[in-house]
Amino acid sequence: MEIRERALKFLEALGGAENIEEIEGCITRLRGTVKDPSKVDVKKLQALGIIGRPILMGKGIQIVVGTHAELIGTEMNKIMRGG
Amino acid sequence: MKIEVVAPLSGRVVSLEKVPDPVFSQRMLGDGLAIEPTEGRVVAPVSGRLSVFHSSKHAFVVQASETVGVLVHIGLDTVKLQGRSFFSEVQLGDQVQAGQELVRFDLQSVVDAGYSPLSPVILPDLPSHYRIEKTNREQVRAGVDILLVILFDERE
Repeated sequence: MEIRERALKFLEALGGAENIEEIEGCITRLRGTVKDPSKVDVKKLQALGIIGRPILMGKGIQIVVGTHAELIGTEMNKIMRGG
Repeated sequence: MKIEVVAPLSGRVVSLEKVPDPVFSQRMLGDGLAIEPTEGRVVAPVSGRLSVFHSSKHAFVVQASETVGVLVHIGLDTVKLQGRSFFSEVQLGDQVQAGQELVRFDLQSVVDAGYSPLSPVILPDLPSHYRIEKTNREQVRAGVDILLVILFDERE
């Protein structure tokens, strides 16, 4: 799957761009904060091949995606800025 | 066939279970070892292409072959330093040689900023029939001592 397509699917699984306060790609995981954690679709995230379960702590979220995490995070931010 | 992974940092060898980050302690991405560094010099663990290099320079992957990459994560949660204290002359996509210096970091300022410098060295997405042998050494020297050996069948 292309990075952009994956980024779009991750955005959707996190409840859409409007639900994301911030997101960044570390080397192995996406981490950020969401406005409404109940809008995060765990099943959709797992269907994207994430490793284990997303870690939700309050509004904070961490998703282990593998070593392409930074690429996806960067692309998600581009899409959120309308790029 | 085997691929030798040379220690990317000098310091004390620590098992992954002792790393206080579930991604590494639960081996979510793969097996390996961690190093508690005694100095801020990081060398390439294998020869190959720098296939992942985070913009904050705190973590990278050197790809020894199509299936074998070695991930070095310098310190824990150090992405939050956004590159402060990390210096590098190499770039994503560069061909590097095992033992070649890739990153320098200011160990003291990483610690002073409240981060653990404990550095996992892992083998992400390794096929399950590949075996990993780990060093018995308690201390390793960057670019000198073998940290891990990956063994696999040549018929692949």
